[in-house]
Amino acid sequence: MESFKHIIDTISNPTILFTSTLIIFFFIFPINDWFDKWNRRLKLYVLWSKKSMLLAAILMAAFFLFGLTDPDFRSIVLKPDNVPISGLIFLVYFFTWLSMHQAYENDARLERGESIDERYEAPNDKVLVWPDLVYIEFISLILCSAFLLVWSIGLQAPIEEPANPTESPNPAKAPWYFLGLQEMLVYFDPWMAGVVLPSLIIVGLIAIPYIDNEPAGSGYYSFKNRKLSIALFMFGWLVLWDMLIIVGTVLRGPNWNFFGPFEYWDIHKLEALTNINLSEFIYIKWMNTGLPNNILLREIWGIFLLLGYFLILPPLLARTMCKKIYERLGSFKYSIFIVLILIALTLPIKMYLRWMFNMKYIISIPEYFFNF
Amino acid sequence: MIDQQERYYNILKLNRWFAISSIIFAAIWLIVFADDYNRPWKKFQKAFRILETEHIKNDVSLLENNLQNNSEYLNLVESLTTAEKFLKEKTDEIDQLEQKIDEYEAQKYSINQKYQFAKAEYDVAKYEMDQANHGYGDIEVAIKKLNELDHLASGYKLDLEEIDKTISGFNGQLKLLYTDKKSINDQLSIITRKKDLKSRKLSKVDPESMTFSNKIANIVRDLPILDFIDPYYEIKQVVVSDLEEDLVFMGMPKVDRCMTCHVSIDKKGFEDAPQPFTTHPKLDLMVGANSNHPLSEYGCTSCHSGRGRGTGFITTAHSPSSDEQAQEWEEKYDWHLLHHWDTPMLPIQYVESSCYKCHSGTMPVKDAPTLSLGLAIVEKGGCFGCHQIDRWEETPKPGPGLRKIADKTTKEFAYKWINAPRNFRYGTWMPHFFNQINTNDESSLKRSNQEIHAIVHYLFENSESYKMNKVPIKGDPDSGELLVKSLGCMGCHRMEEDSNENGKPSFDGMRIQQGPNLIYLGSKTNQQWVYNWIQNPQSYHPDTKMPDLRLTKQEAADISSYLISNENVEFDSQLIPELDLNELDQIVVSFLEQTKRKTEVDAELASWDINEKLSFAGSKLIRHYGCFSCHDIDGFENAKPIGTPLTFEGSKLITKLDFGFMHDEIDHTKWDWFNLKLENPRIYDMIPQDEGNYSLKVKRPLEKLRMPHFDLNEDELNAIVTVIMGFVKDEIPSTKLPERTTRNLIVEEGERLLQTYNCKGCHSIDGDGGSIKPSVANWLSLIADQVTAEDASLVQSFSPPMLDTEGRKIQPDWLYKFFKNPIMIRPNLQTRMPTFSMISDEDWNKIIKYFQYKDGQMLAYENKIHVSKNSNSYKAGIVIQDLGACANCHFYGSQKPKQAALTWAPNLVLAKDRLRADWLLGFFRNPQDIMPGTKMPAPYIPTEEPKDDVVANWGRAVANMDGDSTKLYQGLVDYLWELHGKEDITRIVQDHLKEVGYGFIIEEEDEDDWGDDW
Repeated sequence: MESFKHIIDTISNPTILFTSTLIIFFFIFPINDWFDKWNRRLKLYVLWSKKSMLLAAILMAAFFLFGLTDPDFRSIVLKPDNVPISGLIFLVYFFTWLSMHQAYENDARLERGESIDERYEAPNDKVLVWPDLVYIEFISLILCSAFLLVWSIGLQAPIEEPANPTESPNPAKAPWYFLGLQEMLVYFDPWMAGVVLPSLIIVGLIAIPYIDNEPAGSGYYSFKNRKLSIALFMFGWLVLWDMLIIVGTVLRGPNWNFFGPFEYWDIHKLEALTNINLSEFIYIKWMNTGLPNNILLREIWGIFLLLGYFLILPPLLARTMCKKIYERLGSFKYSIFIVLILIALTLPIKMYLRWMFNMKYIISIPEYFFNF
Repeated sequence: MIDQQERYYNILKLNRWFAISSIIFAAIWLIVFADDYNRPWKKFQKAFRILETEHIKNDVSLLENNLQNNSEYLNLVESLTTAEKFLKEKTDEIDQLEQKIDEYEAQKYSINQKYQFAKAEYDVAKYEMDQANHGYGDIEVAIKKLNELDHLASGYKLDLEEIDKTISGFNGQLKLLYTDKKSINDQLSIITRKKDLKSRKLSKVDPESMTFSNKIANIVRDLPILDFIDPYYEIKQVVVSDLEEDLVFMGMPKVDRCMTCHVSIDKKGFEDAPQPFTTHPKLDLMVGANSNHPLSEYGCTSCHSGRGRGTGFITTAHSPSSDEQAQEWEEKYDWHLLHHWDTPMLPIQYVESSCYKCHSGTMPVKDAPTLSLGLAIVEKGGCFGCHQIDRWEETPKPGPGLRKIADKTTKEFAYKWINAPRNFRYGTWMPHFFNQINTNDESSLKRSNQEIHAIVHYLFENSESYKMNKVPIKGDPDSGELLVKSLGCMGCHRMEEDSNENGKPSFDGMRIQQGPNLIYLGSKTNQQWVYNWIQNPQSYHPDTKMPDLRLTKQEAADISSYLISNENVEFDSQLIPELDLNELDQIVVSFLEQTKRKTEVDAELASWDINEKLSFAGSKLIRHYGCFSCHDIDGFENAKPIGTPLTFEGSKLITKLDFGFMHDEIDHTKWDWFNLKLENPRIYDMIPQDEGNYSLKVKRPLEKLRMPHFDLNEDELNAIVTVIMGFVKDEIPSTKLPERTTRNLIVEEGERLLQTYNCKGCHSIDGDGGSIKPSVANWLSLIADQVTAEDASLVQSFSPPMLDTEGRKIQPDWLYKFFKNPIMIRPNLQTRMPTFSMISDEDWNKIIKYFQYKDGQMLAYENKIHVSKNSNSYKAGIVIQDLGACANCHFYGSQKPKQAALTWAPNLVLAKDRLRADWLLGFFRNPQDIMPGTKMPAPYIPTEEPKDDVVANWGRAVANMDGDSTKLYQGLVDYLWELHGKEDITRIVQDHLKEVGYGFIIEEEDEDDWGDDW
């Protein structure tokens, strides 16, 4: 048992957890034909069968039950604040499964030449607001209220001592839905992680219908025709958002250190974190000279790098990997699409730079409060 | 067109779902109500109701029994029946009377109505008359009408009065018939009042004793939902609006709901009831409505801490006082520490810490023995030396000065002493710095040895020379012993090899630890030093509180020879480790490398010789260990305290305390942390292993914890933790503080001065102090015998005087003169009032004022009493003192008392300058009242004898007083005020004692032995 816990603790390490997720993710949600081929060869699509769902639900529940025997796991998961997050894990899984299950089913129906209408034989696309929808909503409302009442009786409000501004809680955590942003703060300047990137997430979400106006597979659950869109969105939603929330809730302990789910949250845990900027890499580590006094000269490498990333990479990709997309979207939509994707990718890139090279910022101009 | 029948869902199925969900929803609402109704405190209130019912029933039946045994009551009951019988016989008469009264009342009612109408019309007529006078109407008519109505109204009024008279006549007759019954009932109600009150109470508490309608109401008022109106079971609370709960940058009025479960906390009679119903054990002091701290004004948590608004066992933050209690609570209440509350309830052993919030000015704190002991220990142990505490900011260092140490002792002694002070003598307040749990491994011990060498080297190298007089006479240790035991040394010092008292440490016990234990001085120092020290302590250490006993050369020589005759052979035979240059270098390097580069360190080390190294290391180590905190050491005049400031330690957040590896060993509370820290100050450097072993955390020598070990026992630990928990930031409004009257302030300050100079080591005041008595008894057993030593009143008469009523007793200017230059008052005493030359005039004034204000005597200057020798009063005084045989015990100037020295009493010549006449009058009247245990009897005066006898036996002057005790005693005062003669009788007393001795009935030893030394 202890060794199992130890294994779980070990693979919960962000480097391992994130890397393995990154690798497995695109086989499960194949982003192009090549991944799709492997998906089929490995039969990964059976994940979306009913049996798999049942099995996965049982496994997850079993893991939880097993975890509850451990005091450290219990104290984190059963903390009244965190109970919704535990619920969130099951819910997100279930709805992901549901949509993918139906998508695969619809794809299969289409292949067989059948209708894709999902529940009703006829007429198409028609549900009455009154009484059907309102009635169902009303019933849901009653059941949800009942559930909330039971919850509020069963779990006392997690009230703590009177707030003391001179004594901040450790770890100080954002509300659960912002934990993804808080996780980004580890890798980005607060200005970027707190202002620029969240705004771009919203801009990106607004831009989705304008960029992706492909009619095929639209209006019903489907995967086959929308592999790229779904895989990309799922990557952003499941990996860059939900996973970071779960990580932030369960795995981030005092001093924002990482702790495995079965590890004791030791406030004294220390991690050697001496991070350096790209300029220091170049001038001090490689060239063995001091940092130039001129800010522009000092940061010129980082600026080149970023310019290259955002200006040279897109046309390069348009000619190679993303040729098809470029042809489909045209240069204007493509530019917006690729820039958004590249910005989203800076998060995993910076994570790896941090883990592998202790890289702090690529461009660091604290004199003008600009760090990237 | 909308097709009304168009459906895509099965409506029946939806209906079914709706029905099911509604039922679930309704059921859950019931659960909500039940959950809300079922409060944890209700079961306690219900249980208490039963308990209280039983209690009152018991009381009622007890009172009932008493009544049944009370003959007066039985008689009254009997006569009541007679009276009722009598009334029964008179029923007809009574009925008739009542009928008549009714008739007349009816008449009265009707006439009264007519009268009211007539009066109203009369008022109108009066108005019309006024109008006519103004010219609106006929005056004649108006006058006529007015007169008619006036007449009518007065007629009715007369009728009314007539009827009233008749009615009251009938009533009188009725009353007469009822007189007996009423007076019996009145008497009965006086006797049965207590029982009636209890019965009435019972009918409110006990449903069985209720009327039917009340029974119904009793059920309805506590029904769910209806119970918001006026339930029997309810949350009870006290709102203390001027005491605030500190919610960080915001205050909220204190609300305490403790009495919701502790229902009977302020009710007498439940002292033995189980918790939570036990009555507060000190109702006179706390909680009680007539106490100084009534519940309604102070609440509960202002003293006990905890979460006053809570109404559950855990949410109120109860804290157990022992592991057993914790276990009991866990089983009973599923108890655990309330994690999220900064001020959990204080375990009962620390509760006195809250007294300190408001009574920080007093010392000792009355009715708070633990807190007082703690304060005394903090003061004695010198905690404030290393840990800055505002209260002791101005206090001199508690340890002896070390500036002239080279002339006091040897390097060898200093080494062994620093290494392990308690090896030399038990109970020393010098703590152990070395060979502690984090420094007892071999390499640490090796380092420690060299550290001590360096410290000793520094101290002796920087020692100034102490100019000492030669001891002129060879002293006699035996006489020295008697002197030490009789002069008063033992008011401040002990001389014990080991603890001979099994008793618990107490505030009183701290008094004889004012100075060090005097055992084994021969191992520590030499006769010359002791001789010089006792003659003039300030010449060696200017800050010492040791006073001057005005010893003669002979006395000093005897005492010093006695004190140094005592040696600790085992300690003396210990060997001192050799100097180890290598280790010393490492110590020097460890300090140098804190500020210097490696190359510089090496260069410096190479350039120093061994003395320079020792000196450097010594100075650094003295700073490191904070030796200067307690001792005055050359070169550390301005050094800052090395420890954590403790002024607000009690308010420190628990997260600021590093539990280290002891986290799982002790409870996560501040007091447990403090307790363990004090018990074993270095423990937080350690990692607990199996079987009570510890291993050391990774630390370099200078990083290790360095608080020394004081070897405190459990009671002392509790006391200190109590004090620390009392060091809080709470702001207390002036309404809650003891009144800041001049009197209170002066008494407070006086008490602190008395404490500082240990006056109560010798004197007892209001039953407190006088710690010297056991040693006086010990001395008596040496010069007389054991029987004498066990006579408590004799011991008291040989102990320094008690100072009860001192302020009313003594003239303040005389007292000041006496303090400055003490003279002999009580000729039988061997203890001497020392000269406290270090007390400033300012402080003397405070002390004198303290005595005065304490006794409500605030006058500094008073009229001199003028006595005429021709007055009757004076003449009477002569007779009274003569017949009262005052001269048996008292000196009259140089005239010795008639009895043996054993009973000698003060020289009466001193009285007029020393005593206040007012006080003396009261003292004559009842000496035991004013000075419990005094040998002085009340002077006999003829107050009840026939005048002729008085004339015959006492003379005309006394007879003239007509037995008026005040006048007679005044005569005695007048006599004393006109008594002149020699004031200083020291010589006479000394000579007498030398020649004759005390005159104990059994005296085996030759008192010349010790008498020689006068």
